[in-house]
This record gives sequence, structure tokens and C-alpha cells, in this order.
Amino acid sequence: MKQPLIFLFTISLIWLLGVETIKAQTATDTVQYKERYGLRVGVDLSKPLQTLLDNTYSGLELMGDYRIYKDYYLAAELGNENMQITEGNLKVSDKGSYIKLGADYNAYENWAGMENMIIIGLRYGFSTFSQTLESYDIRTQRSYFGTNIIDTPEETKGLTASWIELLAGVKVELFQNLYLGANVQLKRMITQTTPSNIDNLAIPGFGKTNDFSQFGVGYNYNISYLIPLYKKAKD
Amino acid sequence: MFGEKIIMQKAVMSILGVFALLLLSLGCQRDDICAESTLTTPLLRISFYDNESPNDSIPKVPTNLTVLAEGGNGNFLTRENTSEISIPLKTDADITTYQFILNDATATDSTSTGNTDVISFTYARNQVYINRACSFRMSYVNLQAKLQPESQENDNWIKDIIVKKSTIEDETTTHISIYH
Repeated sequence: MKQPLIFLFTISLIWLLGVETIKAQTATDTVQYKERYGLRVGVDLSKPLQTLLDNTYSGLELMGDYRIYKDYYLAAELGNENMQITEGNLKVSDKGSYIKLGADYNAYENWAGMENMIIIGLRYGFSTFSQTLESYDIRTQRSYFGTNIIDTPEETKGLTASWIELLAGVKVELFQNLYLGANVQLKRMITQTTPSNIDNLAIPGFGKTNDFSQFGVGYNYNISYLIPLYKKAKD
Repeated sequence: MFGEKIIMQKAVMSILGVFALLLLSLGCQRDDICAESTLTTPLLRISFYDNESPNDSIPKVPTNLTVLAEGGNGNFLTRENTSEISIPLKTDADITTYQFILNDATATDSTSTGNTDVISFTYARNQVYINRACSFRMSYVNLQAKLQPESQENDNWIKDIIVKKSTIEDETTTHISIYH
């Protein structure tokens, strides 16, 4: 579980850099500045990267948000993940697709002409997936008969899960209309269907589940492009 | 408007703080290690009683009892003197055959030759998921015990076997009583 700490650290670095660049700017014009409204589409960078580095994982996530009113954005993510979980002699793989729907609130007060974001977001997540029990052992107190390892894969299809997600993150405009962002997510399971003989050890979109709680965590590094549709004066 | 925004930013900052704390605490998950206290595959608990008074159930210790199973790794018990034993059942077969050797000989003492009785335990297995750290365990149902008869009736030192509990979920009570 070192990874989340590394992510947190990296996220905070990006954050600091972002905040510094924002501070370095000064508003020079007194002209009423118009803010851009539009559709922003992007892709999660961490999932393709993990796909390259980790041969037990593959995934892709597309995202989009649409500014509806002042600092409020409708937001959605669409993704597919295939991940293998290995715990001792228990090996399970989960694969499937997910959608997250919700809204973002921009808590950052931009200088004129800047459109960076400190995001607090809320999502409803839904996933359909399958879980394959690849191999496992029977836990015994005495190893008198040796370890009984069963490695006949057993797949359960048609599983679903839904959850609520709170996210916090940043989006910084690097170049005109091009944004780099990062966020962390805290998730709370609402419903899930499990195979008859085992729990869901991971759920696409939700990530690794926890045996003793309904909570999960996630992160995201993203690059996105704003397609400006119209401009509106800031009040 | 601007003041409102500052208040919002403070709220946001505190939310972020809570977030960081939650992420850190979730980082130290306790589901990495299978806890010692976890109920795993139960052992078969056997109590030995005096055959002379089966109704009274007076415990009787079998002298120098050695216990071993077909397919097991050597002796499970060697020259034990106890009226209660717990032995494992196979998790990959519906039958486990054990030899119970009374007055087992030692390498140095060849005076006692030992009396071997063979019991076959048959059962159905139920696989139960524990958690991600402990994986699965087995529980057993429909337990039956069959003593292999020997040519002369008196050759068996075990006189009677009673299944007290045919479901082996845990080890809190005796599953099988052996009278001798």
C-alpha cells in the first residue's frame, strides 16, 4: 500500500507547481474578461501507463465535463479495466466496464483570463464486470496432507456494482485549451453482486475492495482538451 | 462574492485534509495478513471412552497411541497418551483413512508390537470463502466413520465408534467418540 502515498506526494507536487504558476500571473487588463464555456474531453494517463508497466493490469478511461453554470460542471468518466489481484495463494482477475456520472465544483478563484481549477466532485459509479477465480488454496491448521491448491479457473459473468465517489483534484491549463489534471477519489460502495463462492476482490472503476469496509480509493492523472462553445462575461 | 469564495476555499481545504487522512488510514489496511484467530479448516475432534461403561462416558486414555493417515506426511501423532485428539481430514478427497496404533512400539522397545485399527472417515466437503488474506477453508458434512473389521473380532482394540456430530464446522465439541 505504498502506492497511494507516492501518488499523494506526486499529486501535491503537481498541485504546488500549479498554484505557483497561477500566482505568478498578474492581471494587467482591466477589460471585462469573458470566460469560456464548453465541452472538455480527456483521457486518464495513469491507466495506459500502468498497462505498460504492470503486466497484470490493463485499462483505459475517457473523461468529459461540460460547464453548465459559473463554477459548476457536469462530469463523466467512461472506462474499462482488467486487473489481476494476487493475495498469498489466492489469485483473482476482474474485468469489465464502468461509467461515472456527476458534477465538479471549481473552488479556485481565478485571475482574469485564467481558467484553472481546484475541483471538488461527486460521482455515481456503475460497473458491469466478470470475476475469474484463477487459483486458491484451502487454508488448514496443519500441513499434514500438504497444501491443496486448486487452479481450475472459474469465471462468474454478469456482476454489477454501484458506488458513490467523492473526488478532489486540480486542473491546470498548460497551453491554450489544454489541461493537465490530477485527482484522488474516495469511494463508498452502495450495491454489488458477488460470485456465489467468493467476494469481489476488485471492481473496474472502483478499484480494489476492502474486506472490512465499504470504502475504496482511486486516483487519476489526466490530460484534457477544452472545446470552447461560447463565452460569457464573469459577474 | 469574493468573501463567499474564500469561505468556500476554506471549506474545500478542510475537505482535502479529511481526504488525505482517509487515504492514509486506508493505506494501512488490515486485510493483508490472515489473523491467527481466524477459523480455518477445522480438525476432527475425537474423544476416547471406556467401553465398559459407554453410557457413563468415562474418558479412557489409549496407551501410547500413534496416529497416521494414508497420504499423510509420516506420523500425525506418535505414542501420545491423551483421551482426546484432533486430526486433520483431507481437503481434496471425500475419504480419509487413518491408522490408530495402540501400544505402538518404539525403535528401542520392541516388547510391545502395537495393535493397529483402521478407520475410514467419509464425508462431503463444503468450500467456504474466508477473506482475501486467508483464502478458503473447508467444512465437512455427513461425517461417517467405519472401522475396518479384522479377521478375529478381538483383534480390534476399538470396540465402538459413535458419530456425535456429523457436521464439522469448528472444534468446540467432540465429533466422534471411540470406545475401547
